[in-house]
Amino acid sequence: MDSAGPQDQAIGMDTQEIETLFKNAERGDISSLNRIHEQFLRQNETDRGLSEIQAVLAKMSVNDFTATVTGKYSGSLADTAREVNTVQERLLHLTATATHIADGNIGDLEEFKKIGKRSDNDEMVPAFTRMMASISSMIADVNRLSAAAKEGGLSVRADVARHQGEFRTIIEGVNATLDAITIPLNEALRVSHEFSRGNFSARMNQNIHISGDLAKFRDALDGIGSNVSAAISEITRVADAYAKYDFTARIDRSANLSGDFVELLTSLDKIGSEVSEAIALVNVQVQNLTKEAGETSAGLSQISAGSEEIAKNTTHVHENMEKGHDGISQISKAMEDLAAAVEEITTNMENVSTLAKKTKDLSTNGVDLSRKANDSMGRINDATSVVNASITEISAKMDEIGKIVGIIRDLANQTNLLALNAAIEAARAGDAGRGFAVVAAEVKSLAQESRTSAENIETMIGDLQKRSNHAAEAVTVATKEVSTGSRDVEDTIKVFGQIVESIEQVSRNTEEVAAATQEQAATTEEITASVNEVTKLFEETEKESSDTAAATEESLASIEEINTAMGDVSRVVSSLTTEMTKFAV
Amino acid sequence: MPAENRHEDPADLPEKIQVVEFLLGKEHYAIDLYDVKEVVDYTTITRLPDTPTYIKGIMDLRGEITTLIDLRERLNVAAEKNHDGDDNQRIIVLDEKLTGVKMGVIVDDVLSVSTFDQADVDRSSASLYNDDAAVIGIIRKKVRVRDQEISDLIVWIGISRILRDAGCIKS
Repeated sequence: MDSAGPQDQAIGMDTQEIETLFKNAERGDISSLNRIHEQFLRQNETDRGLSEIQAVLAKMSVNDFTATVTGKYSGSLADTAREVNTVQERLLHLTATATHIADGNIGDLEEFKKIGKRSDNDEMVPAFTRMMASISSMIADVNRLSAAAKEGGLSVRADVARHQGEFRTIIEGVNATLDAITIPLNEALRVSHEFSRGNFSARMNQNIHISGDLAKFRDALDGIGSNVSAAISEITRVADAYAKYDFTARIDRSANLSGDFVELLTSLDKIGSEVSEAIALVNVQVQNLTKEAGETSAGLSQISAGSEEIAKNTTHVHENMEKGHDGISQISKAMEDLAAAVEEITTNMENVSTLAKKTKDLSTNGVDLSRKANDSMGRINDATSVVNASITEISAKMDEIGKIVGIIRDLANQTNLLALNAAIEAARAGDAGRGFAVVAAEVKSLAQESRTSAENIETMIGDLQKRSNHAAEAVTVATKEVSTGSRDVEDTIKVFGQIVESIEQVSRNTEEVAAATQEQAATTEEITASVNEVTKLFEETEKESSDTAAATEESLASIEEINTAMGDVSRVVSSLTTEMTKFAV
Repeated sequence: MPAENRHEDPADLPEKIQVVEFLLGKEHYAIDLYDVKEVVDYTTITRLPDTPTYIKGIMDLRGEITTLIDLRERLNVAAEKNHDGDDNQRIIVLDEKLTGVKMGVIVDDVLSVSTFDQADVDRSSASLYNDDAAVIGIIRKKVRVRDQEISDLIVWIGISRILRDAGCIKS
């Protein structure tokens, strides 16, 4: 305000100044009077402004933010009026926001976040911002949970740490609510799943706390389980009994079963009672059958016994016949064997006779040959003696040769030595001895050769002597062998003589046996003829007995067949009876 | 010719050498012909007390007492077999000019009297050994064995040195 300076000065006029102005006016100073007038007018405007502002503030103090300062003022009053209006506007805005929050509208959050703080000491706007943010996050969590629950996601929970104070309590409450529903629901799900798999013994876990409407749900589910279990166990019991042929079993009415089960159970009972009746009927008939089969069997046994007696007797006759026949056959066979044996003996005797003759001839030859051998032995002995003498002589000559060779070697040795000395002498003689040296060398080499030859002869003679010694030994052995052989041959000749004697004896005996055997052969033929006649008689009798046996065996076989059939019937009936006893009716 | 003539001066060496070959064990040895008087058979030996082992003893050679040295023992030649009393063992009687006394060496066999060219003698290899040794040189003797010419090696020894070492002759 351009006029603020002087006016402020005027307003700031103190009492003393005013009194001075008044004194000046009393003295007729017009300018002071004008200044007093001006001061008055200004004072008047100030009073009016203050009273309006006061009225507005008074309304605001009772939360009435409808009024504003409307008057036109100048100076500091105008500033005051403007500030009051700003306060009023802000409060009105806050009121509107609070109203929005109360109505569930927190759309102002973004605007407040933008404002942040109006001054360093401003706590109003941050408080509003936080309030709206908390509410917003709570709403978000609750919305998320309810959306998940709508989709069936009961396991979803809100993070409690994100909330504070009562907000946290609310979220905890919501989580607890979900838990209270979810846990029983999951348990119910488990039980239902067991039911679906046919396990009706499953029950809700009693340790899980369930109350209110959910308790009813639990009781209903458990009720399904126990009712179905009871029905099934009753059906099972009765069916088991049926399976074990016990058709007396009936449904226990005291089990208090109701609904669709009743029809099923009634049907089961009906099966029991009808099967019982049928089996009772069969039983009676089986008993009758057993009795009749027993009677038939007894009759058959008697027939069978009679037939067997006949068969046994016939067999007995037959056996006796066969035994007789066998006996005759054996006699016949024995007679044949005997005839054959006699024949063989005759043949053998002839062979023996021939062989004996041959042996005799051979023995005679043997004796001749042995005599010749003996003569040869004698000559060998003579020859051996000659050889022996020769060898001894040779040995002696060899010894002599050895001695001579020894002398030759000694001579050669001496010659060698002489030749050597001659050579030495010749060499020492120098040129004069040269011719002699050649002769000496020749003599030496001849002597050397003689010595070598003599040594060779010595070796040979030694070898020959060794060999002639061997020969002499061999001849001695041969002489000994020949004399032994000579003795053996003499023994052999003696033995041959004995053989000839024995053979003659054998020949004589053989002839006697041959005569006896011929007589025996005649007797055997007579016996054989008689036996053949007896055999013919036996064969006829046997044929008749065998016909009888065949007939008896046939009838016995028929009875046996009947018996077998009867046995089958009996077995069937008895097994039937056994089977029937299994049924309890 | 005196024995001392063959002493070492290559220029003075005669063109031919004459030696007596003999055996010691399996090896061929030779000594200068002029050191040899004669070769006699091995006979009864009379042993002498308190003498070196190679002094075999003494024997009577046609009325003269002759000292005998076992050359094998003296030269440390290993015996192939026991030659003592062997038929072939000989005594080489040494020239009296050399020894002053009648002396003989016992060898395993005397083979021959031979003449060799100086070219057949290898003296250089002998000097490889102890220069005090009895070996004068090695003689290469050509021998034909089944159409092949091979060399027998003969050890040529100086008998005078051996006897000198043995104290049998004065140097």
